[in-house]
Amino acid sequence: MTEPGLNKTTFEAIVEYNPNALLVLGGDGNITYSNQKGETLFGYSKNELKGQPVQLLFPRHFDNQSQFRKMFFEGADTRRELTASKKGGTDFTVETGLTEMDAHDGAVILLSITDITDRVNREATIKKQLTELKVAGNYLEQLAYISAHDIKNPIITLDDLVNELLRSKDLKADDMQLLKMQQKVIAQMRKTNKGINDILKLRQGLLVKESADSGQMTLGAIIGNITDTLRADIENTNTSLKVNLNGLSDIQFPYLYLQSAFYNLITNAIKYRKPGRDPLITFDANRIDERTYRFVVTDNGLGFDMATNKGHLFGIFKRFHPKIEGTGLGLHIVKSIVDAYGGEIVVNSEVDKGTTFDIILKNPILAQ
Amino acid sequence: MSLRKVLLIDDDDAVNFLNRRKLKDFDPECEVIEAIDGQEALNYLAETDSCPDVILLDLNMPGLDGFGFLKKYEEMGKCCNESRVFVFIVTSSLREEDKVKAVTSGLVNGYFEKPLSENQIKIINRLFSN
Repeated sequence: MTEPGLNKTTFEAIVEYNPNALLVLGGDGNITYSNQKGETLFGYSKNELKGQPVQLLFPRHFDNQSQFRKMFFEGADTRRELTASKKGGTDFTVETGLTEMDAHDGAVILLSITDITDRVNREATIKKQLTELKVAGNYLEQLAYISAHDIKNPIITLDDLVNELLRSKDLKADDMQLLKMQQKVIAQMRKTNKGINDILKLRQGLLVKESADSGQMTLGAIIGNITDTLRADIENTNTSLKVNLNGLSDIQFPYLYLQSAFYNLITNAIKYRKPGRDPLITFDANRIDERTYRFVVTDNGLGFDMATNKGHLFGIFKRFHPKIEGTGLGLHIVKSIVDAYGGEIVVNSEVDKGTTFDIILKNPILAQ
Repeated sequence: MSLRKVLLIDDDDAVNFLNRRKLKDFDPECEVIEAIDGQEALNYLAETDSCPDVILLDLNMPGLDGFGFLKKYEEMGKCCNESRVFVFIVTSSLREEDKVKAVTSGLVNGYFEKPLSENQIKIINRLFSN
């Protein structure tokens, strides 16, 4: 089988020093040979590997031979992306390729294994950056919207008012009308100012997102911060805030983004309370699985009509109670935060009964 | 024939105030009704005995917004079935999809960018009078 110029020793060296791990498996699926890279990749010596079933290296995928064969020989392509385990149990991601061949002493399987941890990490980084880009794009869209609605609008009207004012002078309009117009000019100025403030708030929302990865805090501390900040409001409005963390008080979360979302929901619950009824707000935290958490915020406030508002509950400038001061940004920010972390938010509300926000999201910080 | 009655729907009372003046300048006899959102306008339409000739409608409003109003207005069926009620959007929205959505709703007779000019009032009057 040797090519001209390449002797058997050279061929053996090509296998032994191949940059990919190469394993030879017997017909029974036990390892009969590993090259050097196989040793360094998995942390076992050649002797330790010899005679071991191949599932030792892929315990997350199969624990017996037939599963192994089924996995590889189903479909035309025998290349797979798998989680492998080093000696000691550390997982890493590999790409495997496999060939079955007839050797002179019976059928053997040649398994080639490449460590693709770096590639997988790079892909994860790109995915994360794409998500961030999407969020940033979303904010930009909102910014354009705010510019059009909250700043452009008052300026157009201001311009129109001033034109009318000047025209009225020519026409010697009565003083009451002039006074009324002057008052409206001032009111428009204030709206312009408020529009600028809203843009600053939106920018703040973006900063919250940017710093989401920078710091972590326990759930207990996050809720503590919010209740401290809102203490005066809670006392002034006679609000009962019942917090049930259900043993999750010590779990670490990226604090700034969660804090911002919960803060918005709890301040809304206080702000849109039902007159004549003491606000009762509950905050419940539950763990669904290792990474997934559920947070439910319930109030007994004004509520809103679900039928009328369906489909655009979280739209920018969506306001349910025009007579109560607000920017229509709060829920939009909550939704953007939940979206950014691939979570879901569901709202249920009934007029005069109250509102429930149900959030499910994955904690990017793995619990210790 | 000239505009007898116009319903203004805008959350900004300064816009309603200015449009009222412009309409009155155009025709002092014109009756002008103001509403701060879609719901207030619907309440008025439900109660009134005479439908307005023209409705000037803003799109972005807290409470019931312009599109919400159009939907309920059609459902209510009271004035929109009268071929003589003309609806004009008067908005600062730059979103092309808003324009397409409004114009294709079948309920809208025109789409203007704010602010409403004297010339646009003349156009509205001419469309209405034809």
